[in-house]
Amino acid sequence: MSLGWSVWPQGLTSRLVLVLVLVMTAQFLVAGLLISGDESKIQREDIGRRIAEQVTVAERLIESVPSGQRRELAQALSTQHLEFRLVDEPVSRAAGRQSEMLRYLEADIFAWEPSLQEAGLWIALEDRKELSLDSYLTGSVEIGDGSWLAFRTREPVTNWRWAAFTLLRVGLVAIVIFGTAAVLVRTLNRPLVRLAESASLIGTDARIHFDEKTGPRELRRVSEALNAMQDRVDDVLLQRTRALAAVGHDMRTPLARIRLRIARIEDRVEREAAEHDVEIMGHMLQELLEYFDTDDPAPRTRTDLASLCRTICDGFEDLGNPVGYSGPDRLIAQVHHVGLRRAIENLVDNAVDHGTSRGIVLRADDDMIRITVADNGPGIPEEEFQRLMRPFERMDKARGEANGGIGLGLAITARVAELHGGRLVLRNREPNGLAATIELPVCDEPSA
Amino acid sequence: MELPARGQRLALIEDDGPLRMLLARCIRENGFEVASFCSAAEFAASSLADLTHLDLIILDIMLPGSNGIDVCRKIRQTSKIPIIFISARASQTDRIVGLEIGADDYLVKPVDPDELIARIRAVLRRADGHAGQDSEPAGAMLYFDGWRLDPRRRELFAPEGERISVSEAEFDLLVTLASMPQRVVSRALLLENSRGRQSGQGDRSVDVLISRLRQKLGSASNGADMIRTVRGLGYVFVPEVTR
Repeated sequence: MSLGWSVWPQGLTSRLVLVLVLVMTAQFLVAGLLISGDESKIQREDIGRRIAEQVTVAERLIESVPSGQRRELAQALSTQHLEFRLVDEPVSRAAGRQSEMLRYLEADIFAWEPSLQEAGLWIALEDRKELSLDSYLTGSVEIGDGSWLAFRTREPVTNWRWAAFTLLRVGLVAIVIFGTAAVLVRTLNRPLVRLAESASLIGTDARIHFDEKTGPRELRRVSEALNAMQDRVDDVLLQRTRALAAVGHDMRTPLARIRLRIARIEDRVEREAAEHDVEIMGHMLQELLEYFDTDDPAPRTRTDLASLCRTICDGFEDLGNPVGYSGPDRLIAQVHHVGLRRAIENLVDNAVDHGTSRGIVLRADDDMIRITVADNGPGIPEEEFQRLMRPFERMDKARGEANGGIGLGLAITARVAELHGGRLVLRNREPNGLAATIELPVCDEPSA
Repeated sequence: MELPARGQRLALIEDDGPLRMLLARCIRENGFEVASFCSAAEFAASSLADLTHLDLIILDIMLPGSNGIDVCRKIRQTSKIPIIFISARASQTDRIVGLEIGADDYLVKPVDPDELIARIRAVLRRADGHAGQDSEPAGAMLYFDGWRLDPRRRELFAPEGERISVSEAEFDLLVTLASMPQRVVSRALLLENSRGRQSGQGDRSVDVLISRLRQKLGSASNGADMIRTVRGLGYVFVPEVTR
């Protein structure tokens, strides 16, 4: 495969077209050869018969008149096609070219009029013009009194024009067939191209349903297979998610027992440490279960984002971590309220962990709403941006995870942004700090 | 306003034995009487099932046999007895379903013991407050000046239908105020009714919550503040409230 890589085109259409070109060329050559072979045979026989008949008639007529009148008669017998002369010597055998075609022609003539062979007929090809492919036939036959009837064709007998014309016709047919076939290949290929485009979307977002009704049977089978495959993948994922969620739910009961038992620990320091541990475990479970919930959001509702941001800021301030708010007093948008709230809270959580000062900035223009959470912390190396937005990815240990998250915070936020048709954009600030922006396209549809 | 008196009796329905025991002990140590049951059927078969000698029910949602949601729905057909859910399910949907079928509160495991007791007290207090006014169903929708306040789902909507976010404490405070319109409500009562979440922060926190609420509510259609300060006494919720 690697050898022919540069010649062999990548696309199926191009490959099929290339195959077509090769097939059509072969067809053209073979058909051209066969047809021109046949045609030249028919033509040759035709010429042979004409010459045989005319020469025979001329010979007999000339022999039937006295010698004195023969010369004039010979000229009078000349036709548009054949010119007759009476000569004293046979046409020299060296006068013209011999060829294989000539041998066959001779055989044709003798087959038609065997008497001509006895009369010593000899024919040759004669090139009258230089640099021309046209050849003329010349020849002579003996007449009883020692004179010779010489003849020559007035038209060229070689058939290169015919051959060229035949090849041209065969070639035209080949081109028409090739053009039609190329268009058909493209049409046939279109469902496949479409299928490939849809297939490349599998796993990126929502379920892709393959509905191949017009394409060939094989493609319909492929699309059915892809649907079935998606079903199986979804099923496996769903079962995994359910299993994980069930474990998450089940763990809450023993955790609740521990939480109640801890209350009886006498040593205050130990008790508070244990309470903190249980709290962290609770957070982890919460984060995990929220991540699973993100994919199944409640419908969008008309929500005032300004009060949402303010409520989040106030909540953090009440816990001793002031967060500034900058933005309008009202900004209404169609959003998944719970999801978006969690998304912003996750960003503020990170900002509180990594910076000493942080704020939420809410901005909107005609088609985009931007909710930016900025801090003055150390920021994140740019090459880590994409990784950290994936689930279960965390910063390295050195940066620490103060709140004991399990690396789902940014993933949840990114997922929520995607659910709104938007995205999460991370950017380092000058001179230091991180700005995380949830970009939401403005959406007026209530249930999009 | 009575404080939780001795002798208030709670029913606890929870299928996990050790947790049931621990919860019962925790509740008992805080001065309540508790009867524990491991399933809805066991509760239904008991002498307490007619609810007349009960003040509050704590229900786990995932129970063997008929689950907590069904039990709550059945009880609500005949009684307004306070019900608190304790559940391992933390999603907003679960919470909303729980509150919509008539539970008074919804707690997620693991429950902080102090939080649980605070919620029990708050729910009992609210039930007490409504005891004299049976005609007003607790949790019915409140309407004022085009606004809509949904105590069940804990949601607030502005006149044009957009949801306005408020914190839990702000919400409790607004419900208290809107339940007693055109009357002076004292800081002390407001503080007591805001679920004891911000205990220890004193009167100032009520002022802070009020100022945050004012900012979110904006001014009423006639241009005045919806919440008016009555110096030295408390606050008055000015708009007319309908249910």
